[in-house]
Amino acid sequence: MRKIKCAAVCALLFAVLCGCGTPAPESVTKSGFYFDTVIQITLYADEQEPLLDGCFEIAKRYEEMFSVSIATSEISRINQAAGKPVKVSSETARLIQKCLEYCKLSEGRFDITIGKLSSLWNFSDESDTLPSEKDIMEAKATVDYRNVVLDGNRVRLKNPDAAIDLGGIAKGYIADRMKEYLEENSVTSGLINLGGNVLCLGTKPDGTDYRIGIQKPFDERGAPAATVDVADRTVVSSGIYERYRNVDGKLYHHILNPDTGRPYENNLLGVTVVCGSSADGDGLSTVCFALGLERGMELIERLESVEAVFITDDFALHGTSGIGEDLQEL
Amino acid sequence: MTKGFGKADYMFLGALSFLLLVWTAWVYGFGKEEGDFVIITKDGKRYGTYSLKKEQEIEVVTGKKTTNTIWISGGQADMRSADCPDRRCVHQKAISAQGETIVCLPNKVVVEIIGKERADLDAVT
Repeated sequence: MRKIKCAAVCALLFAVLCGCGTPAPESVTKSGFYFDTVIQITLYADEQEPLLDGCFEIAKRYEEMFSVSIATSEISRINQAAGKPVKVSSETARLIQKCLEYCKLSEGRFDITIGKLSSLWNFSDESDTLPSEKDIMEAKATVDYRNVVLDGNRVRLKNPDAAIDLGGIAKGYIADRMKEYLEENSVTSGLINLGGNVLCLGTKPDGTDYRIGIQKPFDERGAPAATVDVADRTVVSSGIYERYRNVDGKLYHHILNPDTGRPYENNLLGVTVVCGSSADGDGLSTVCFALGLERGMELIERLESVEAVFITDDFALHGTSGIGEDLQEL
Repeated sequence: MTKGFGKADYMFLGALSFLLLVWTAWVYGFGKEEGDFVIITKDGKRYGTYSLKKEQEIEVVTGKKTTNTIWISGGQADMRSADCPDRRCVHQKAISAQGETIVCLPNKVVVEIIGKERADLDAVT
């Protein structure tokens, strides 16, 4: 008798509690921690789950090649070689080649030899001190992409004190490689998010656009200031709110100006670029930030099928002419 | 096992009822969190996502006709006008907590309050 009662009550309770369950999602997602940031990949079919592991292998392989925080990486070996040529993989050579094109195009506003300067400022630690004027000047003197000599798969730094840091572009490059890998495996829908480098494959399975939020500066992580609807594009942001420190009421952020050795000072809080390749998005968002609102806007307007959203320090959003209704302010 | 309903049974049922009550109160009362965004869907398709923190008027347009007008103010969303025959949606009170909805059945317009974490975004950059 008691057993029956008990079972009846349990069944009732079960029914009530299940009433608010959500249906199981049809997507598979995997998250991990690479390049000092959280990465997440979502695919929209159960049977594609093994491809998630494939993407994470790509992340691991490239991190071991490019990371300056791994002493044995190819980039670290170049930096430690004190000006002697170092033989690298063709992948590293290919990325350096691409980076140098960006450096040239941006007239050094984006510069991969920023290594000494970025490790001097080191925004990944929690300290509240600033580097000394002398140290800044010394580090600044080593920044010049024209000192990188690429000869086939051999890389040499003409200035032995210089250091390469691909942090500004590696994530974008790796996102592009993951997309290639997924497309080779017949994936038509998917979302790659490498700590802010968002890259969408095709549309969502139901044919709709992906809706990507643009982080509201200094708000909780994940709180959007606007959304942008995209298909088969990448959305990449560079913002002063990502890594910074506050010293004596002044904010020092991680986007460093190779000319002054200090953070860029303008009225921008962030730039979001929408384009086809995530490495391009990385390079362009940094360059736009360096150029400032007006000239950055001009640059994007000149480029085919590239759009951008600038956020100024009054929290106003400025979208390029082609973005239209895809951008929705919240 | 021969006794029908003993003291222990009452205690068991009492404890169970109490737990159920607490759970219900939590879900329907204290569990109510203020929302951050308003999602409007029309005919099952997303019409738009809007901030609940910003005062604004949203017109749901079908063809060239405005069928419903939603007014967002003071953290609440309200159906201000509708061209449907019963106008039940207009008479519904304003919504502000996550999960609350206003439905206009004849026009197939649904207004829903959601939180930040599920602002219908696929990713944030």
